[in-house]
Amino acid sequence: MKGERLGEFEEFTLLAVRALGDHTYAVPVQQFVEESTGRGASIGAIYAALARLEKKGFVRSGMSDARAQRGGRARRMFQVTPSGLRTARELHQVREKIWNTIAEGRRL
Amino acid sequence: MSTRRPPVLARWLLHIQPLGARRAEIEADLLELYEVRLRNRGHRHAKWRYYRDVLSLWRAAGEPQTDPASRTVARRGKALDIVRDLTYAGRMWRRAPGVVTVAVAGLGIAIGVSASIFSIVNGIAFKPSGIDEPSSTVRIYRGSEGGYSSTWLYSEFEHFRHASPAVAVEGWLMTLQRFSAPVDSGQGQSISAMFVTGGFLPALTRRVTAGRLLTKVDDLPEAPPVAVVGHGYWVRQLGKDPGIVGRTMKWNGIDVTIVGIGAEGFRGTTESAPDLWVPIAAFPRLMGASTHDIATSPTAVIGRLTSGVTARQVEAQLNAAVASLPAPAASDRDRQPAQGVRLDSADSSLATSRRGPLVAALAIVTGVIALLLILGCVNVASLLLANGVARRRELGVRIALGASARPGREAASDREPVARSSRRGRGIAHHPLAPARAHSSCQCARITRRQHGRQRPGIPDRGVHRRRPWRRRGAGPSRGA
Repeated sequence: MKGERLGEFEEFTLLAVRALGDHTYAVPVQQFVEESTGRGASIGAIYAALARLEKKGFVRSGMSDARAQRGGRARRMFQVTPSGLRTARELHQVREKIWNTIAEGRRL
Repeated sequence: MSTRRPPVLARWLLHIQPLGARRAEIEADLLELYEVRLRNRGHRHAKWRYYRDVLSLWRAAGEPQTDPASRTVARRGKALDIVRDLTYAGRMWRRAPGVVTVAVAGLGIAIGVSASIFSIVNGIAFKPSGIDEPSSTVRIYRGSEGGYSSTWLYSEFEHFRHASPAVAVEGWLMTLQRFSAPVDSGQGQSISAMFVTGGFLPALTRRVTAGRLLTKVDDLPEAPPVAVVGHGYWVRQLGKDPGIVGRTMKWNGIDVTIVGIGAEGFRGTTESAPDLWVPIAAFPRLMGASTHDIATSPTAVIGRLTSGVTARQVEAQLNAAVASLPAPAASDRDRQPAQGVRLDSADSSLATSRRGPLVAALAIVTGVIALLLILGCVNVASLLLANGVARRRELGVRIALGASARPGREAASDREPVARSSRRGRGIAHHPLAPARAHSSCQCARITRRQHGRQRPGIPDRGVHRRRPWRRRGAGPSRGA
């Protein structure tokens, strides 16, 4: 647990939810993370990451309507919260700043 | 869409996973992933990933859940415990394969032998026979100079079976016949058939799963071969097919019509129900035997008493009939002539008159089973204790350094040597404040000094503990103060 900060896998998961246009669910997130990172990601890891993100307030979830193609079973849909988006952007900015520093040849 | 389903074992692992209110959602997700992978990468990949996903849920079982409805934290904790236990067991196995193998094998053998003996005892003495009104069903024993026996000749049975109107006497050929069905009939396995008189099954029960029981008409020589299948055979080999009644099957080249399915739990007069009950009239055709073969076949006999009649009354009537039996044939000189009958309960395959010795024998067997299990447990306990002694230093350090409760759970016996040695002043593992005191005594202090490079070169380490001066002098702390 990293408090209010984001771990690497959590960040991937959060960005995947955002990239998939919000209101997405675990299955596309898992596939997106696998394709983007080139690493195998189990569905259990995705569930765990989404649960941690929800606890930190970075995503919120709700159940969709029942779907016939899933045997009448609903999906848990996830959406990135403004807080999650802000945190991801801040993380991105920090990284950009560091990379810029490296690019300019300055020592940290 | 492919009709292939995820592997059964993985589905079972998912089924036993405590998912709470999220079960439906997670199962649907997993199935969706499986179908996508099946389309894109084939069955093998989809199957493997399905296993991996299910196992990942077990691994993730300790993760906190945000949905209040699915907070099954305690159960998830237990699931995680199982995974940790298995992991730890694997490590222990790798570390000390000999000890673990002996412990597991010892316990496994003890449990296996105990279970086998109990199954036999249970099958013989405790398993209900499924006979209706067992108090009015009797086994009829053959008396001769040598004592009583359950074996009659079929010809003898035919002679006295109608001697008493107060009892319906029925019998069965004691040799259980085995024959195989041709593979093209969908069977192909060896099946056991018990040849019985037409009134045998109705004398024992009125219950039937489907169809009907055998009747006396089925046991007439001109009757077409019919059979009643045992419930166990129907479940195991016929897949509980309700349409089996009325179907004709070819056994030993003869068409036999199934007329009924025995009731669940009914085993009749034998220790386990046969696959088929077939009328004796069909014996010559199915087994290629002659009527003479039947007459000389060993036969067991039962009787169903009519209401209001006692066994002693029937016994007297049957004794009179048996007295008029013809003497054994010259070719059968070894066989002593029948001199009388004795009636006994048919409730169990062991007669009531032998219950006394049976109870004593069962008590001895139960004692042996208990002893065997205790020996197995003592064996494992000894091995764990020996292992604990060998690991006391490691365990002491682990617990002193504030390890979680898990190492303590791995085996209480592991801790005991540590605790005992600590009482002698050689360890600290037993102390509840062990982590706080770790650097003030014994092993941990030594390790800490080594780790920090504070042990002086040239000065030998004199052991794990330095006794306090008052101990060395044999004086107590109060006196020293």
